[in-house]
Amino acid sequence: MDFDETQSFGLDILLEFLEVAIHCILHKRDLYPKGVFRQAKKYGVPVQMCIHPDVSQYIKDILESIKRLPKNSAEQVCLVIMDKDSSPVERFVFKLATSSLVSQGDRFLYDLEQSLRSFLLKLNVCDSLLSHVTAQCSWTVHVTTKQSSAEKMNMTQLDRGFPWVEAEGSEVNFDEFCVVPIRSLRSHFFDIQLFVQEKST
Amino acid sequence: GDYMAAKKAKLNDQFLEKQTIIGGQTSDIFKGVVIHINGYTKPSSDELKKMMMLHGGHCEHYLSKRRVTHIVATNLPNSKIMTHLKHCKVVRPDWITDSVKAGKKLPYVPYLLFTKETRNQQYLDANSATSSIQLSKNVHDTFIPSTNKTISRLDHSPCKFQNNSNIRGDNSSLNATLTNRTNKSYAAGKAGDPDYLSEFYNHSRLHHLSTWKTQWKDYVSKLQSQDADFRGREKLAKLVYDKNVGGQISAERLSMSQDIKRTIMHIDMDCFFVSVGLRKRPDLKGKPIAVTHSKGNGRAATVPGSDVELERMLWRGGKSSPRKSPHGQVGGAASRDTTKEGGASSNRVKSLLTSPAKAPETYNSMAEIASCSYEARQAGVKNGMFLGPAKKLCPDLITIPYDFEGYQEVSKCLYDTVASYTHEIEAVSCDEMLVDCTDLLTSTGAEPLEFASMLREEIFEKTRCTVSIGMGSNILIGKLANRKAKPNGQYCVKGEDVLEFMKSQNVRNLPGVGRSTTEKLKSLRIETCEELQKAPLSLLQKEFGPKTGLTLYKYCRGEDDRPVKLEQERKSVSAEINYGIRFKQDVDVDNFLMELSTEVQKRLQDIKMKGKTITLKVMVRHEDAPIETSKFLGHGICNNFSKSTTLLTATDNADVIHRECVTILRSWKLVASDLRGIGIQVQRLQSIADSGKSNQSTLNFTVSKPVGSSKEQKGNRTNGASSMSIERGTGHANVLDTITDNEDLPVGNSTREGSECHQPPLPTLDVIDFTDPGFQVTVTERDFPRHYIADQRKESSRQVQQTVEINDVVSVTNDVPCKMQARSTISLCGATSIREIRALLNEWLQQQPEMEDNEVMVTYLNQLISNQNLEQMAVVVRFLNRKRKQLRDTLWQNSLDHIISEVQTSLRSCYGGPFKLN
Repeated sequence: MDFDETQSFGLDILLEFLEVAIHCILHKRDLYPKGVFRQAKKYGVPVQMCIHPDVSQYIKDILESIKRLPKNSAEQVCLVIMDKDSSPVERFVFKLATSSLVSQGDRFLYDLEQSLRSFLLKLNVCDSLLSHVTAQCSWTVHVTTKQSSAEKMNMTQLDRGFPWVEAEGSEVNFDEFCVVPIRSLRSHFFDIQLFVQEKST
Repeated sequence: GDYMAAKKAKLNDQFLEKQTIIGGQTSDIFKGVVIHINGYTKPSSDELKKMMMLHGGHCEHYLSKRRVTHIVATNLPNSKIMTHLKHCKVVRPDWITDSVKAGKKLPYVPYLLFTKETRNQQYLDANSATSSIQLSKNVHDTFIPSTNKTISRLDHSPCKFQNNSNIRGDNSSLNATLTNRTNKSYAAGKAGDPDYLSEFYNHSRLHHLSTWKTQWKDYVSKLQSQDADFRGREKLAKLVYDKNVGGQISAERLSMSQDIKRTIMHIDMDCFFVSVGLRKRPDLKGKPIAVTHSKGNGRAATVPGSDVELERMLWRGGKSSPRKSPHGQVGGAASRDTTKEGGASSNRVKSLLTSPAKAPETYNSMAEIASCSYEARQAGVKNGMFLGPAKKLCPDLITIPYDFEGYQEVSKCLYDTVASYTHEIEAVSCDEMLVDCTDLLTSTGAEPLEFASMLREEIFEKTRCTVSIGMGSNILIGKLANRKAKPNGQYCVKGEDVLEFMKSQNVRNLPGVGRSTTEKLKSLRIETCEELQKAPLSLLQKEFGPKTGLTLYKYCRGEDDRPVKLEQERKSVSAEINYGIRFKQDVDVDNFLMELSTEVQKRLQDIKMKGKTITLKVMVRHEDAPIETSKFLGHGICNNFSKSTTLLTATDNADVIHRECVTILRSWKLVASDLRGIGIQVQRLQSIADSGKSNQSTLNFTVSKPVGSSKEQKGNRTNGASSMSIERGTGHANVLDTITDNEDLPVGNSTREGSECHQPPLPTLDVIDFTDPGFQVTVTERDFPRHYIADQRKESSRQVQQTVEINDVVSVTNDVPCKMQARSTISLCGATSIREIRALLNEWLQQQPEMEDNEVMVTYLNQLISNQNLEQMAVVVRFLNRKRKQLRDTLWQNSLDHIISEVQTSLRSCYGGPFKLN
């Protein structure tokens, strides 16, 4: 088993999880009317999935293009929630890393499933930790990568209909933000850490 | 009498003649020595003969106890010495080779093959090869009789040997040498002995049989892959042409033979083992012969502590309940032959086998008969029988030993001969094959029987062994026809005669019809195929299920769609041992499983396959069975267990196989000493090339990672000192640097800190303080990447910190690989869990604030942050914040403020903002 395979394997599960998590955040932060969500089950946890075709397609596209990034180049995936003036209010930061566990284990993904389940449960109550009302807000996704991989991506993404562009300065400006840790997860396949950067009130 | 005398004289002449041919004798080391070579030896008997020629000795082809001075053998069964070789000196061939090397006749005593009494006793490992020579020189003559006596009493301890021996004083060293020698030469060791496995596979008859089958299959496919060189075919065509002078008739014949749709030929040697064995003993032709390990007359020494009666009783009990070992004692040894010949079951045999032995002490040899001649079969002896009962049935039964080289040779000849005609061969076993000769017959225009007699003649000429050939339009008919052809005959069933031919067949002869089906058919009053033909399809399908019913319906009409499998596909690979398994403790089992796994790995790799399903089979002593079996080191009455596990990806790795097997074995919770047989089988094979591409990367991961790491661990152990390897991602990967430690210790700790936005470089070699006593790890230069990617944002302070951490971590190195627990490594004065920390802090807050404690606290929280464990950090900081508000003490408030602001600062630098406290 070489390193690369570990990566792509973990990546599939990771992206699947990210998809659910993004839907979950959209639901929890009232970014869309509750009516466009439908309850589903993932890792044995009830989750809300947006059934609006455009929204779910958008999320799928995002994740698909993340998958195409050069290996290990995505450091963070952030869901940025912005108010009417397009200034960020909350940032859900998923910090990604390859597994820091060196030992073998979890061959049947039991542990990983448990971790992802508890992660989702925690995410489902994140609204109680956050203070902003984000009902009228819009959202976007940022991916933090290396300069080199960003350039590489720009070279290759033109032929696909889903280009990434550099984030606007105002969207990445977090001078008066405080951190709300949500959950971190360590598995034998990848590590994720989720925290919210919240605009200080 | 006269014939043999003449023959011996002739052989003697030939020997002398040859001696002059190879240049006369060069020395007279072996003057007066006459050897007789018994069975397989290494070097081969020919070489030994040549050596004897060269050095003044003589070699006798037949064992005459008057003339022969030494018998040369490497492996002889116990009973053989007990009866035939009681008063002979049986030496190992090394005696001859060593003597030749030494240039003088060495004393043969250290080379004696049988000094069985020594096996049960552990001796000091005396190294006295030379001293023993001196010794035995002195005691040469007086010593021999005593040794022989002890040989005859297999289970006696060496005290007997000492008593009888005239030597005094130096016995021990002599004994020791004998022990050394015999241990090496004698095959019946116990599992767990060094080299037991390889010894076992070198000697096991079953193993030979099983490998042959695959070996010949491989041989056939090798032949098939080669260019066709059908010399035989040309010969046959010529023969046909000569017979029918002029092309006219042959054209007619051609068109005739084209009517024959398919001709399948079943070629089978007549009692293969016997006829090959008889090539060496032509004098035994026409007598009842049995091939077996035992050379005795069926009177085997009873193993102390064993109970034949009980085992026999249990065996019968086991027979009635299929859950228990169906094989019981019979093992699978000659199962191929037994099933083939199973039709004619003699009631005499049954009564012998099942009735409590009337005279258990007389005929109770547990050696199985692998093959017996037709003369013996007439007396009721069957393949797979024990020698004891067989002797009772046929007191004149002569036993001959195995001749594996001969089998090999004859088999090869058989296959080569057939392959010179056609390559459409399916190897069934070493002496049996199916040939689709449709194409051959149409192209040459030969009649099937013509070809068959030509082939049989040719094979007999080459091998001196008779072969029977059955022919028919499909495999079934071919095989059944061969039954009729045997022995040494041929039989062809023509298309129109098939129905008639089938009518005479017993249903038992149909493939797939075993005991239970026969019983069931009997209850339907069906015993022959004629009766079966009358049964309607619907009835058969109702009774036996749709599939079996249909096959029966077709088979009894001589219809069989099975193709001749030209390309053989391996279904499973296994290694199984149920002889000599006597473990003392679990560790032995583990080690043995590892050996067995390695054997399986070897076999898998030999055929370039990987398997997905691993099955562990064990035989466990039946609760009521005696500890010692009546067959020496046999498995006795056993309960069989087997369990499979399916891996996500195919493997051929011994470590993986071993691990799975150990897991299965543990789940049974067996007592190691009760194990009597262990087998590992790997199924669902795929070739290495396939397994590479067909699998998803996802699946590969889970299986192979352990493989890698276990290898890693192994490597580590062999190194002695634990070595630390530090890997770094390639340039473009930023976060994903890992430090891999073989001990699975939390070295990752230090990198994790770096795996945030900062990327601390690895410590260069000069940063690491090798003199630090804590630094126990041998860091070889190889383990470090040669090039470090310079990091733009490196902080020198971090570098220092990292070195320190490595020291910390490494100082805990131990030999036991432990599962890493990432977070447990960060502790506040030993406390890791929230509860512990809360208790600790509550205690702390009762005392006076100290600057040092604050620093400890800040360091701890910073570590949590750098370890991405923000949740725990949040709990602790919230706790402190709460306390800050509760406590009236300004000193405490100040220090807590200090701690919190410190933490907020580092959070801000790492996460872009302070922690939200409210």
